[in-house]
Amino acid sequence: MARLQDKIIIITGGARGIGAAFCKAVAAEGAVVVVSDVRDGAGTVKEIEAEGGRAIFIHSDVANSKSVNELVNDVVKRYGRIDALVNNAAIFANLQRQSFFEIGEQEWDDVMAVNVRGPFLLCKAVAPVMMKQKAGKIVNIASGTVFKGQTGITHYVTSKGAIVALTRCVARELGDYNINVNAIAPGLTMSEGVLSNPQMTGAGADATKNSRALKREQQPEDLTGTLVFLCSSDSDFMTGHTMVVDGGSVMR
Amino acid sequence: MSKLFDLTGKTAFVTGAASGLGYAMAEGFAEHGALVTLADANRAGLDAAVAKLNAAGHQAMAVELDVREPAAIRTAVAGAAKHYGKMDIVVANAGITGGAPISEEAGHIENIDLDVWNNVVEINQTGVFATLQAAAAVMKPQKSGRIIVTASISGLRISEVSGYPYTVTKAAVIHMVHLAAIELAPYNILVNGVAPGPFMTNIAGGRLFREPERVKAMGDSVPLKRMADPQEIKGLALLLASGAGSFITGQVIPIDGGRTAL
Repeated sequence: MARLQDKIIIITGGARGIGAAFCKAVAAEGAVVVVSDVRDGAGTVKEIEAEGGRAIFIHSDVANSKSVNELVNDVVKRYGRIDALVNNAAIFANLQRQSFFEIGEQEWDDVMAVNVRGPFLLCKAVAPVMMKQKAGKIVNIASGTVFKGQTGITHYVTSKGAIVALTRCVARELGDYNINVNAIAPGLTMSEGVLSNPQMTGAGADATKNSRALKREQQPEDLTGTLVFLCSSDSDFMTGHTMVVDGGSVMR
Repeated sequence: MSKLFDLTGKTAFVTGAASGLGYAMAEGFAEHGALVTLADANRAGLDAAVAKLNAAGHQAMAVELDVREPAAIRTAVAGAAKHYGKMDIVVANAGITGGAPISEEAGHIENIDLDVWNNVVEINQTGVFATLQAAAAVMKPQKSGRIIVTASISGLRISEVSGYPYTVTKAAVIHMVHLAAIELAPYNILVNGVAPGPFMTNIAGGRLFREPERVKAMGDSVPLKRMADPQEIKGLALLLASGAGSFITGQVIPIDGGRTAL
């Protein structure tokens, strides 16, 4: 028996990178995946269908409440429920490394809008559906950089710190409804977005790799087991926790 | 269906496996294909546990073991490894409560009997250390392995219902996990801990099963508003023992209904 048979799972930022790997992993476990992204997610859907899995693409901008509400309403209309939400969409791979002095207000606000307001809006939109079900799983994607105070991308690290906090708060508020809210904190992961940004590879990536107990590059597939676990009934007694999956760079 | 969580052909050794969380972890591994060795000081409980697994069609064997005897742990782990040709997963789970909480007079620092303290340290701390030694001895040469330590949320955050011996030994094994994770990573040995919150186990002589009002209060103290069944540890242990957890090391993961929200 697959671990997520017939579960309805929304994954934001599912068009590529870690998000696409997440979509494929939950589909392989029997879930019906709603791939959501501001980019075109048709490729992810096609890959899942080629493996015999089930997925649809719904275009959505997580920073826009109207768009988020339309996404959630559309999913409820089609399937009647939402079993899991994965808040994966974020601005990261295209960021330029710079001192916090150099980060402009607009860039700061753009990162916060997608990385913090996005998951907040999605939690707000999905929670009433899950509360009615008296069941649900929310998985937020944070970052190991929060626990290190990584420099060079202060807006990103701050936004992911907010995700750790959001996870704790929402978990406490939704616990009464049998809804689990947890987060995954990955290390620097070699997604296609990261690989296409020279500032994210090279010496900086080597330093990250060498900070790990397991000294190798992290791949999107290194995160999928934990995601499946947190979307499944296997994690029913866990909530409010941020699980670090980074080869042992941050130890908690 | 993916093979992420499959343990077919893997071998596992679990201490404190006659009942509670230890038994549940061993059973969870067996259900996913592992060949399991259950170790416990309680012979009768151990035999019943192994019989139950074998009756369900799993492959389980028993080793009577008191974790206060480090040499016996080494012999037992090495013996199981020799029997199966390898040892993939070792769970240092055996532990006891001991010492009243600081909220009670008997738990005040001047009232803690050093014999009680020493016994808890011997089982919960030295016993775990010796189990890690035994695991490393077989896993280093094979250049692979998974080690799981049963800590407790008491080792992460204290409260007025915490007592000195239990809490301090559980905190100690958390540092042990971090150190061993760093030392053993070059050998492809991953070391993690689970930090359970309120589970319905036999701990403290089965007191929970006699005190429903305590169960209600403990359940209400966590965001999910309930205590957990020992079965609920299975998934987390499986994650840490299987391919699904191949990039997780040095983590101590609370499974506590949201009590710590770390």
